[in-house]
Amino acid sequence: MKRNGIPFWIGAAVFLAAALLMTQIVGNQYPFFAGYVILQFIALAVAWSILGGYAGYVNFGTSAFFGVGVYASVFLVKAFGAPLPLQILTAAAIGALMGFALGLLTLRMQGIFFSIATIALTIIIETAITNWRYVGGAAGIQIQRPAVTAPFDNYVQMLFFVQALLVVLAVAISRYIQNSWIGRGLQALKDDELAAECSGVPTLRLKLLACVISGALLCAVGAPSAMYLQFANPESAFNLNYSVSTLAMSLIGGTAHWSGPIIGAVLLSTTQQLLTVTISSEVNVLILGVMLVLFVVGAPEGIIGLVRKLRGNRKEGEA
Amino acid sequence: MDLLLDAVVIGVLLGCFYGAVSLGLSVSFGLLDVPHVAHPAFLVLASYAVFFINEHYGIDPLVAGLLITPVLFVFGLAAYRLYYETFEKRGSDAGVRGIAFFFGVAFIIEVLIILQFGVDQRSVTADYVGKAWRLGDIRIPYRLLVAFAVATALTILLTLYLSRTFMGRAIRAVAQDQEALRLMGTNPIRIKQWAFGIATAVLGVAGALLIIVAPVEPTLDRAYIGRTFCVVVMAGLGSMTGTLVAAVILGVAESIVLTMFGASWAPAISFAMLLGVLAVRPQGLFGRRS
Amino acid sequence: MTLSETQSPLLRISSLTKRFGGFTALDNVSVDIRPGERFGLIGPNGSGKTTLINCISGAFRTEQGTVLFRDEDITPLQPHMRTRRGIARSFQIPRPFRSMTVAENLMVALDFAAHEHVSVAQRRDTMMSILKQMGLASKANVSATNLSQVELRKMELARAMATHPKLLISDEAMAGLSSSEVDEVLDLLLRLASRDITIIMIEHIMQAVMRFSERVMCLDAGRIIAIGTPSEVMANQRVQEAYLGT
Repeated sequence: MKRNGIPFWIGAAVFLAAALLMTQIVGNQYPFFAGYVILQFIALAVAWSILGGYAGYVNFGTSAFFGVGVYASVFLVKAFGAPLPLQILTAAAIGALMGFALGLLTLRMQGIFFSIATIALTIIIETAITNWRYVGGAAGIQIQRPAVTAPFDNYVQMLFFVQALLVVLAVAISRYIQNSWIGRGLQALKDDELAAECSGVPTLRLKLLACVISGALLCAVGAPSAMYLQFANPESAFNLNYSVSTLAMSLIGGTAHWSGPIIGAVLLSTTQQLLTVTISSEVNVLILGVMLVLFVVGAPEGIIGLVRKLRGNRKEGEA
Repeated sequence: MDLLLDAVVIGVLLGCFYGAVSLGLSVSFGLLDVPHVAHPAFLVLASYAVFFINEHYGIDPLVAGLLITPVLFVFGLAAYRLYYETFEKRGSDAGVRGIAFFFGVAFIIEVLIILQFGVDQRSVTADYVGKAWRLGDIRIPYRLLVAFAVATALTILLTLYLSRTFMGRAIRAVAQDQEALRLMGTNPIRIKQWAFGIATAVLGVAGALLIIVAPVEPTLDRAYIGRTFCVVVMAGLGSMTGTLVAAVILGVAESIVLTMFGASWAPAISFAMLLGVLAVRPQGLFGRRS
Repeated sequence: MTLSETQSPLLRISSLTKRFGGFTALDNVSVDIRPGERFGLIGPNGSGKTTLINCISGAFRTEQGTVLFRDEDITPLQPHMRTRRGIARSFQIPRPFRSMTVAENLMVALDFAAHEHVSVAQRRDTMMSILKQMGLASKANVSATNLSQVELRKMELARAMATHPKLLISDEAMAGLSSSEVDEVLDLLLRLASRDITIIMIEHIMQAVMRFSERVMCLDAGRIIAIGTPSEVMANQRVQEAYLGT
């Protein structure tokens, strides 16, 4: 079977090399600002899909994990002046714990209850942080620019490359899960949880695992955001738009394969960047909502599904 | 102590209002199992429609709410048809997609409202908005009394409908055992469609209440996802009177926390209670499921 | 084959009670199933047969009572742990994994309910041999969504068999099938029984129950109203009333 990892790792290396090269060659700052956001959404969508796509548990708490990642970073900088790698690692650890707790609390709930519980979690955590004066409360907090290390000239390029690393990490993990027994078990429980359970699949354990991994990644991706914006406030860090965006990107790209969320994220995020610049941010959200509804109704398997269908039809045509 | 009493009284009235806006969801989600997270968005849309009619034609908001009720009913019929054809028929992945669909719809509605009306708050003008009734030391705003009266009336109406009329009982039957109904020759889909129509129609008056009680703004639906689902889940899916009781509990809890801890904690209450109920007693207080 | 009365039961259900709100689906049900037995379970609709199966397989938690399997109390165990200990069930309405092929459906069971460490190649061989026995070998790479009713039923049983069970519970596998299809499934189950697998069969098709079972139990409104040889139970007046009365 085509499970050979070498093409994938070569591709990942090329991608990272290209990102690095970009930071050395491109002088204009704007591509890095936009690129950071796009890479961030790719990582978020891929991480989301581990639980939302493979297991079918529509997690609406992306905003919660992302926001916690942001504020973990804020707290560490303010309290200890912690460097970026430590911020990311700590955020990942918190995200894993959060994922575990969320999982224990909510994974026994069916479908929509789980989704609503994740929204509940987002609002509750956001409210708690809004009331926490140390990290700025509702008004928000300023973050200093991070120290820039070679070979980067400025912090945006550095953060851009860090996100590229996180993207590779998330995709590698997602790909591994998909190809392993974990992925097969998740697929079974997504199709029919009771039948999976009665066929020997330890559904709760697998769901918890997906929750922990997904949560850790989502939080880790949020950590550099505080430094990217040099500002954090609860309303934007916990904005439900993150939840809807990652959900839409994964569903539009297609959740059956690890490449689906990447496609969806690149497509939607790039469109969003273009639109926010040219039109308004409201139209941005409108298009997101419309595309989500269109794909969910018309192309439930996402872009990947459409491609597969086209290929299948062509094969039949040729035969 | 007086402050607490004040909070409780306001809480009960507020709770009744929450009940009114959750009744539709009790039918669409509680009885029909439709993952209708766009219910609050429909509610806010209805309240903006009421605002529009009130502002341009000077019609009393409650009357305006009644006027849009038939429109909403037809809209509900169509919406359910779309939902059924696209999701319920197709099985396995439908749950995930159904939820995503309604979230998408909610977002679209939110943005459309912003594009049409802007992000500022809107309110209605009516005789009873702004004045209050003094009961001893307690000051009860008239608009809350109106909400209380209408909500109670709605609940009674809906409960009677579901228990006394043929269609109402058919709706409850369909919620319990769709297959049995089909075997008896009735088309369960038509019944569910009708029920969803009613659930949406109720939002006409509920939307009016929403803008009577407080000004509305486009993202208000997010706060009400927590409140309406909290109420419906706490009630136990499918119980109308249970909805009212659960709503009152929520209203009182919110009111007390607001009085004692301030507004910054308010958004989390309904969600925290919802989480609590889901974790501890998912079947709610009066539930129909085990 | 003769069964010794002094052999300890494979499955011992004691005082099992299951309530749904105010409705009692199972009321103090107790029964022993012997190893290798062919056991029929009958009763009118709503009598609690599937509820009993759900309690045995772990899909439901019970208010009261215990389930002992091979002398171990499995009452607190989740379904997948019971499957790993050797209890398998098919579902009344088939529940295939729709995004997978027939072969992949069985591989899930083989991957997760495996008792010993076997290589992937060996598991695939086992999967193909089960499919051959069930008459589904030609459908191995067909998507589960493209199967006929009887093929779905067979795949249900095949998937249950892939968990290497000691106890197999078949829940109305023959419902709605033509008489030749009923015979197919019945022969399948008889062949499985001849390999020392204990089988509990829930059915409404009385001829099948009579042919298959060594013992039959009849439930009505959550209670056992008769248990004995097929002819004894069929002749029982309360059983006849229960069926004719509904």
